[in-house]
Amino acid sequence: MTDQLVEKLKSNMSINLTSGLAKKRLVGIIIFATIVTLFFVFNRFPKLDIVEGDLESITGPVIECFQGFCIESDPDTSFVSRWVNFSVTYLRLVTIGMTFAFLIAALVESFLLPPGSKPWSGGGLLGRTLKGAMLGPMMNLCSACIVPVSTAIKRRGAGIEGTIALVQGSSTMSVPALLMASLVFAPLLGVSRIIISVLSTLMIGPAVYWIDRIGTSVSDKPEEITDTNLLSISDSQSWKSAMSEAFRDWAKAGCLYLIKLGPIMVVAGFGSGLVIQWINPQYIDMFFGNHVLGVALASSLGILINVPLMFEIPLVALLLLLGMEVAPAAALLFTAAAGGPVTFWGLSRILGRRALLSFVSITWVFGLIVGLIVLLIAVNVPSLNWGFRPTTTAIEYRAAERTYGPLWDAIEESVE
Amino acid sequence: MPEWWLEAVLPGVVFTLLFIIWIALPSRPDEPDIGSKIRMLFKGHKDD
Repeated sequence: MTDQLVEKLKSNMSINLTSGLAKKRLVGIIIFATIVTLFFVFNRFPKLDIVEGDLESITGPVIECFQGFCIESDPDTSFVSRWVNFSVTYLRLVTIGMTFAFLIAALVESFLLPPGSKPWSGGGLLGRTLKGAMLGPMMNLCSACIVPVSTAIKRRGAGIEGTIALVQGSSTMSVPALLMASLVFAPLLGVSRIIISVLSTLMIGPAVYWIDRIGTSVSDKPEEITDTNLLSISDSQSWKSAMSEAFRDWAKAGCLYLIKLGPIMVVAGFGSGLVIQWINPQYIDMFFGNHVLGVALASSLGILINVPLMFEIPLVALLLLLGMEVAPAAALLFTAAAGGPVTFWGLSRILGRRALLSFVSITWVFGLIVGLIVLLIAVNVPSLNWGFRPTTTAIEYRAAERTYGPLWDAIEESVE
Repeated sequence: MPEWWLEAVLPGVVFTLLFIIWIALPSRPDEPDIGSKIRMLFKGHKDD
């Protein structure tokens, strides 16, 4: 009995590399680990320094532009030039992330889940959601860059719920973003961002799935990927043949992703850049106070813009300094990261119209809910009603002789 | 070197390489695509 058990255990633990699928997966995992390591070392970790620099630039005597975004418009520059400048900077900033995303998406389709492999669809609604939720934070991409990867896993049977869980997991549950938010903002904002990120990752996908299912026939089975090439999985395949096939599939899928999704992302990036130009210091006090309308507007603004990963942190910090209150800040901190025009347009190719509309609406509702909860707390516990750690008192700014600029004006007003 | 060189060069190199691989490696027999057509043009025959 024990011998049988040991034999079974051994056979389960041993790696059988006779099939083409096993060879592709092994090489795929090595390539994946290499690309992810390079991406993190050369792009993601330095990003923490960039965000730190952004925070310094907005708390200085004169608020400087960060990542192409300027709150104080130079009178000599036109609206169009500011729009183009921001959009081009945004596209530049996401280029490396996007290249990584195209490579990973193609890698999923060619090496990790090649044609004919057992699809991602197992585990039911919860299982697919959890798979997406666990893979998302590993990707560590913004809501725009994650689109190609989510497209790839949707094609391999992740379903609506797994696809959306991946998008939310990557864009809102990114560990560096959550850590940075916790360090930069006071606990009310930091904790609310963490909780809403976890809830949105686990709940938006299944909610969209159920809404999408309403009205469809009971006899309709949930979508399953048909294995057209199942025989090849168990068939032995030489290394040369398997690698030639997989590398060609990888190259082809990568090029096709670029052709199909690249132009959409550029156009939607300019659309998002246009919306962000309307953020004006004059409107912040007026519209983004601690009230329901302020929360609804902030949630809507977040849905209408795409930002690079963690950009929402200095953006919200800046808006807090300029008079935005904590409840709309909580809503914007979530929705700005969770999705935007690039995300929604990109996903429109794989989600149906109803699913896409549900996704947009539920993301907005989640932003609204987190904002309203923070509003309730802020109203009932006024001592917590301040969202940005470094600006607890205006004394720090006086000590630093920061006595001019819109930041100073905002502080003067709040002190008065 | 300009600030944006990496953002321009890296994707350029990556996707050029992918395109070359797409053309250079033979396709499956039942999978005609742009890559295999360009490959046939270069090779001058259709027994790919």
